[in-house]
Amino acid sequence: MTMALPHSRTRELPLGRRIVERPEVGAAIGVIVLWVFFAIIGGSDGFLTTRGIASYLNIAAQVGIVGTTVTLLLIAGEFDLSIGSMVGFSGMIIALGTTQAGMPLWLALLCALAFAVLYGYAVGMLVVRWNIPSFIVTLAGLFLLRGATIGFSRSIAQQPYIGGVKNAIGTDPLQYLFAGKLWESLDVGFLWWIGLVIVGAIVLTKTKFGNWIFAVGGSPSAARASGIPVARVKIILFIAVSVSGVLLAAIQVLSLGSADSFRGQGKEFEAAITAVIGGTSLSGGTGSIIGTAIGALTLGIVRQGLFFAGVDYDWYQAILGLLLLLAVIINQFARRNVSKS
Amino acid sequence: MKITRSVIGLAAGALLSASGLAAHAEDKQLYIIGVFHADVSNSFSSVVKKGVEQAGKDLNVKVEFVGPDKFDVVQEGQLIEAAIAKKPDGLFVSLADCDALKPMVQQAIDAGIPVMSFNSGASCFKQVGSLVHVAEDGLEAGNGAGERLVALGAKNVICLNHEVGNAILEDRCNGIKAAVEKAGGKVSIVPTSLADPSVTKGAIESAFLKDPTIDAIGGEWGGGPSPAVIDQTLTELNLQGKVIVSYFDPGLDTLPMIKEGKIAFETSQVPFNQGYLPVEFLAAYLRYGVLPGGPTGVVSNGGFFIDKTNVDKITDLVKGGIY
Repeated sequence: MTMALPHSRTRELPLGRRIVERPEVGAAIGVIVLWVFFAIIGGSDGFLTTRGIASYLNIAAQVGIVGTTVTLLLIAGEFDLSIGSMVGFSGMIIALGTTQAGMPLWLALLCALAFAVLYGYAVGMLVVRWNIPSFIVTLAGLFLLRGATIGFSRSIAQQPYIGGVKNAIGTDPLQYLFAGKLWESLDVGFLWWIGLVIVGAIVLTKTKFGNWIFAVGGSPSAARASGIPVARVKIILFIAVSVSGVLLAAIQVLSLGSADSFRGQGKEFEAAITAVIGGTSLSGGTGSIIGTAIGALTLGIVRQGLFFAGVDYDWYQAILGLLLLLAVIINQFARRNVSKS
Repeated sequence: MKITRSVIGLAAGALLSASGLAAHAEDKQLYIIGVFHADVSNSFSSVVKKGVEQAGKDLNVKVEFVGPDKFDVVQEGQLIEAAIAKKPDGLFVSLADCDALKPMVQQAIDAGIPVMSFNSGASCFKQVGSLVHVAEDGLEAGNGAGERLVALGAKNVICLNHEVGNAILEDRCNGIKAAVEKAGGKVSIVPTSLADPSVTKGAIESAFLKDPTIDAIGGEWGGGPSPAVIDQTLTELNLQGKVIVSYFDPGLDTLPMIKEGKIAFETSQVPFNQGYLPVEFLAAYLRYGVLPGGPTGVVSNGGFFIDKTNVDKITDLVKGGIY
C-alpha cells in the first residue's frame, strides 16, 4: 500500500524540496506567467478591473466545479466523458420540472440529484462489475444523455429550449444558493468552487478514502490485494462526478433562467484539460485537486485574456490551443528545473 | 446697435462653436464591440464580421466582433461581461437566449453602455433592454419560404434543422410549417448535423424511406456542409428534380445549383447588413441621439429571395466575401 502513495509522503524530505516537487507548482508558475502576460497586453483594456477579474474567475469556477470531481476520478484511473451531457440533462430536469411540471425548486433539484446518483451508480457498476472500459460506458452516456435532453424537452415542451425558469420559481430563496452575485460581478458559483476544492483536497490528501483513490488508480490489483474496496471507491467517484454536474447545471439554469440542449457541451474535455494542466495523469495514480484549480484558472485567464488583448477572433481557437500547450510546457520545464536545483 | 451687434456676434459664436462641437463629435473615434452566440469565422458569421469591419472603416469606429468557439449561450454571456469591462461606447449582441442574456445586457446598460441586438432575439429584445434589433424574423422568413414552396406545388415538406434548440432555426421551420399546413400540406422536422455529414445523409435517406411522398426540402442552412450531402443523397435516391429544394442563406456551393435548377430558391437574411447596420445605428445614436426602427425598434433584414433571376449578381458578391 505504501508504494502506491505519492512518494513525498513516504520519506521525509527537506521542506523546500517537498514544495517544488508537488505537481501543482509547475502549473502555478505557468498560470502566473500567462497572467502577467495578459496583464501587460490587456491590462489597460479591462483585464485588471474587478469586472475583468470576475469574468475569468467565473469561467474558472464553472469548469473547476466539474474539474474537481473529474480529477478524483482520473486519479482513480477512470474517465467520465458524459459529464458535459450530464450538465445538459440535469439542467433540463430542473428547467422542465419547475416550468412544466410545476414542481417547487427543491423537488426539481432533488429529482436531478436522484437521477445523477442513479446514473453514476449505473456507470460505476457497468465499469467495475462488467469490466467495460469507462471510456466506452461514458461515451455512450455522452450520446444517451444529450439525446435524451433533446428528446424529453421536445416531447414535453415541443422545443429543446426551456425559458422562464425565473418566473416559475418566483422568489424561492433556495435559488440564491446557486445564482446571483457574490460581490460586484463575481458569481455565487465561485464560492461553490472554492468550497469543493477545499473539500476535495482534504479528502484526497488527508483521509483514508484519499489514499484509496491513489492506490486504486496506481495499481488496482495491489489495491485489491491489500483489502481496499476498489469497486466501492470507483462507484462513489462516478456518483460524485455526476452530482457535481448537477451542481453546475443548477448554477447555470438558475442564474440564466433557462436550459437548452447545448448546455455543458465540451465540458467533459475542458474538465480533463484543467486536470492535466494541473499535473494529473490521464493514466491514473497521480494528481492534485489544487493543480486542477490552477488549471481551471489557466483556462479562464487564457479564454478571457485573449478577448481583453483584442485578438482577432479568426485566430482565437488557434491561439487558445497554443497558449494551453505553452502552459503545460512551462509547467514541465519549471518542475524539471526547480527540482534539479 | 451695439447690443444687436454683440447679440449677433454671440449667436454667430454659438453657431460656430456648435458646428465645431458637431464636427468634433463626428471625428471622435468610437469603440463598439459585437458579441455573437457562435464562432465568428463560419461562412455566415464571417460575412457579418465583414459588415462590422466595413462599418468601422466607413464611420470611424474601432470595432471588435467576438463569439464562443461553438453555439454556447453561457460563454456568450461571459464574453458580454468581459466586454463591459473593456468599456466600449456601445455594444451589440445576438440574443440567442433572452432569459439567459438579460442580466448581462442589464449590466451593460447599468454601466452606461447602450446595447443593440442582431440576428437572434426578435421576439424578446425589448424586454432585455436592447434599443434596436436588426434581424430576420425567423417566423416571417419561414412563412415566406413556406408560401413559396406551396406555390411551387409542395405538399409534404421536410424541414431540416442542424441546431435543434436554436430559436431562429426553430422559428423558420415553424414558419414553413404554418404556411404549408395552411395550404393543406404537411411538414415534419428532421434534425441534421453540421459536424457529421453522415448523420445528415442518414437522416434524409431514412426520411424518404419512411415516407416516399415527401416532395420538398426546406429549412437547412445553404452555407453549411449539408447542401452538398443533400445533393448527393438525392442523386443516389434518384430523386433529383423530383423534390423541390430550398435553403436559408446561400453558400458558394449552392449558388451554382440554383443556376442548374437543382435548388428552387434560397431565403437570405443578408448577413453583411446584420454586421454593418448595428455599428451604424449605434454610431448614429452615440453621436446624434437618433434611433431607427420606429416604435417597434425592429429593423427587418431578412426574407430576401435568391433564385435564377438574381443568382449571378449574388454570386459575385459572395465571391467578394460581402454576402
